Amino acid sequence: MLRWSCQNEVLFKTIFTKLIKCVNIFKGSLNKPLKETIALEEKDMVAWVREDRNRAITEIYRQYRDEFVQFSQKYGVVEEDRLDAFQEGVIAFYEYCYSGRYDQSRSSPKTMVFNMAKYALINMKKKQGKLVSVPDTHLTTREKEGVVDLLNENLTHQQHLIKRGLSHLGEQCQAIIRLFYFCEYSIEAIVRELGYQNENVVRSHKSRCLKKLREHLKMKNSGTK
Amino acid sequence: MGLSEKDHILIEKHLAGQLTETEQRQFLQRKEDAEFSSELQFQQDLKIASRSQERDELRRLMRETDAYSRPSTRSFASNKYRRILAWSAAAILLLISVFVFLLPVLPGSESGFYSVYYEPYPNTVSPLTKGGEGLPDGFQLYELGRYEEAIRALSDLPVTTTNQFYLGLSYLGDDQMIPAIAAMQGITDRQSEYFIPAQWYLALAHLKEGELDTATRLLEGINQTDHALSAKAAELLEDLQ
Repeated sequence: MLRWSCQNEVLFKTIFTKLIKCVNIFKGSLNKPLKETIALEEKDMVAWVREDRNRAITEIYRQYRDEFVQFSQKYGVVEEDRLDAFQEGVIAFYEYCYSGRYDQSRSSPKTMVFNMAKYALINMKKKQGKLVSVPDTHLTTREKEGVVDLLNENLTHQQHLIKRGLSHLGEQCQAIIRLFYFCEYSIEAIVRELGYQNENVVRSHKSRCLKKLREHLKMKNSGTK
Repeated sequence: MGLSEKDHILIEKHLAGQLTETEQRQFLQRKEDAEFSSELQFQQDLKIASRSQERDELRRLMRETDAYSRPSTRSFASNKYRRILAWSAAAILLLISVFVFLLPVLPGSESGFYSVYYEPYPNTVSPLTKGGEGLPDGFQLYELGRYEEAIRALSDLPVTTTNQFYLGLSYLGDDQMIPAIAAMQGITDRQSEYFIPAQWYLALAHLKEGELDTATRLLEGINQTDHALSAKAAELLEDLQ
């Protein structure tokens, strides 16, 4: 005699749900709408990327990714490369916003991201010795330089070691270093941001962090662990 | 001899582009000193490395978004081969579901859910690249699936949220639930980007251990957030009911 149980029912339900998903894959309607879509065109991008980087990048990427990948199909480049170019375009856009140079009244976020991604695609393919027929991106020289700088990033051995060494530091050290060296915050601004007592305390802590980093580099350069 | 505080401030202001004319002259003079010059080079390299790390972090965020919501323009509908694959998968699943319907109780269905929902978290700290330098570090060993070695390497690192998270993941990969749970429970900083993912893997580990109540409580917590994992948590909660 066959036995039936609640657990069978649960497993059956799970498998049936997966079955429906397979059918949806075929129908091309796999993606469910997300809880809340932020209207990117209305956001102050420069302020947003500085205040809430993770949310800003995730939303920009999520909202524009599929459209760019589909839109760029006509350039005759494989999807993986188009997706890579889009990611580099988003990073270039982020850095452009972060520097405060992005003028949202001149060009919408979507237009700027798309243009930078297209330019990234051209340059990535050029590096591979292939030409891609892409219409003019309408980027300024400075905007193009930002994309090229990103694509041509070529760390020296020492810079590579420093970068790996950063991940071995504690979180507070990483925060101070990021704020000072990437975000270009003054010591005074770091005091406010991280809630330190005064500038001397920040300098002292920063100095200790750099010392740890140097010690790590010394170990690496001398060939020990 | 060591650099003076004034030297450090000169370098700090140079990097910030805030030297006055007088300070600029002092800076150029001090640059002739080997120790000063070496420190300046180190901090300039650090600036470049920091920017590179920021870029890697952005790539990690975007890969995470891909992991939680696959691009819909992977145009399965327009690809004949993928369409056949999807229908074949559907047919197989239908057969399996009929089989399960007729079978007696299957033990350990919670670990079945673990198998369905577990996916390795990507290595976003130091991802493997072509022509990468040196021996793989703990994070790369994890990425390569060499979990035992990853556990040893990551256990030697300072106890930080990032290191604990990947240590927990390595234990999970190595099917050691108890130490995985211990490592993930150590991640308590709610502001950390790894907090919610840690809660997710903690829920899965408890599920594997048959601790349904604990897993459910954790999943309900994730479901109440805005994190990308909240949709998955909701889905798993529905399956568990």
